[in-house]
Amino acid sequence: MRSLLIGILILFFLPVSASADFGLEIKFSESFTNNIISDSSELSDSYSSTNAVLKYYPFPQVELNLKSEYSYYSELVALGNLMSGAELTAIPTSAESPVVVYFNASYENRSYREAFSVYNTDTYEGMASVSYILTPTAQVRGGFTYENALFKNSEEADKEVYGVIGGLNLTFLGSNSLDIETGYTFADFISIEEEGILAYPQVLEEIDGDLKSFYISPRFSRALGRKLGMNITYTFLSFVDYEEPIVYSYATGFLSPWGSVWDGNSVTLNLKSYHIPKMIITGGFGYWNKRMLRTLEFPDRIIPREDDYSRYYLGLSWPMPARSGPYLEPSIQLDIINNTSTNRLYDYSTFSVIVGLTLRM
Amino acid sequence: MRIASVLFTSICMIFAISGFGGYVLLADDGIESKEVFVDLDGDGFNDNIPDEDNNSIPDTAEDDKNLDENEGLLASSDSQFKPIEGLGGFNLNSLLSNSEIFGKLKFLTRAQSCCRGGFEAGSDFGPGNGIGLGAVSGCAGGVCH
Repeated sequence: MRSLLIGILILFFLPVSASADFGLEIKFSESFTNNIISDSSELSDSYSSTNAVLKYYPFPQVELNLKSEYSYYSELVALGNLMSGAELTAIPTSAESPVVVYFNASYENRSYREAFSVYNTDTYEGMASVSYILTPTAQVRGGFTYENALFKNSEEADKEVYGVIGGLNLTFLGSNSLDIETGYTFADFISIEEEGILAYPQVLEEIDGDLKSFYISPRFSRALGRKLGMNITYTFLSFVDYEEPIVYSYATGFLSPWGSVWDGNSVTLNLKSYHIPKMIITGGFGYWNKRMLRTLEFPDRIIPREDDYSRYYLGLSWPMPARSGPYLEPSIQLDIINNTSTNRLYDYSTFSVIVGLTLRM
Repeated sequence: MRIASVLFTSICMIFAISGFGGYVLLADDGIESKEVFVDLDGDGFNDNIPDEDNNSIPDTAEDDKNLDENEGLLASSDSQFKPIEGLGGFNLNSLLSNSEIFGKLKFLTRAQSCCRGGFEAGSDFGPGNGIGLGAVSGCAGGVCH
């Protein structure tokens, strides 16, 4: 699968047609947070990030990106990292067709400084999807997703994830929109057999893990007047045939390969406002109830973890397009996170502020 | 879960105040739009509303543009726009660059090019301004938490 993705990327690097054109997007951001590791240690830090994307369009249906991002942390310097990658997107259907086909393949390499080099990764991702317009106000969609994350210096954290998704979007009672999405995901990874952990002498036997997950997520959205829009989204996500696998833990939950793997419920509310002329104000609240995988803390502690995670954000952007010349968009974002966990290490709260500038040419 | 209950109640109150029933989004000053309401990106606004200056703000939400439109309607109330004749098989897309055509195609995929579930559900929660890729967005170093 990885070879296929690389092959597709190379294939589209080669041809150059007369009408090919390029685009460039650069983002700068400067951030401060009072809890960089997202745990009870509450280490404050500021960091800056620069992201550049070179976009190339050999055909009207194809976009090829070469991207790079560097992040610098002023206190926890070793967390600084460089990302580089490439991405191909192809949409071979016409704009007038009721059927839209979408392909995306990407490769990303992320390298940390020596102290955090255990987290160096190569990530391959792919997506293929198709949508069909049933009526002017109803559309169905379906697709496949693929992800392979390879930890260069820590192979036991590798994982390969396949997913199928389906969705329906429809408008009812004038300007109310309902979008229902569902999916099923499979993950291959390495887990540790529980009996060996507790045995004396301890034997860490690594076995092939098999994780399956089902989700359904209805989203309701509508406008509340001419300048305010909202959506509320509920997501139910549940492991299937869950055998409570145990995975290796890492000292920082912030970078744990398993920090993002959970089942449970979430509800989010997002608002978008155009009340300030020429500016976009966004705000939101989200609540997640998460059950994480069990982790092994050396020498022989098996730690279950369940979190109640809530997050509030407020964002302000000022898009400044120009008829000829660069597009500029300064932004500022405030975030508050509260997390309570059955594992006291992860009882924490976080306040962060980010200022950024996006430049497109 | 108590927070979720409060949130749900708040939403119900918002609907009660604003009226749950649909109204035509572009209805303003007696001018009704025949645009079909579609919201594939979930921001609550009609995706079909034009954004002539490409600033990501629908034209109907910008006061100065509404003013211009209304003035335009009064000024040209006794005239009609007619399709240009004699174009034959001319393809207007031939005037656009590859990136502009691709932008139009990409717009059609706004619901199918991402998903809300999987093993990183919720990691895209936020303003969507593209600058929050650091720790606070829930993702850092390529890993989401």
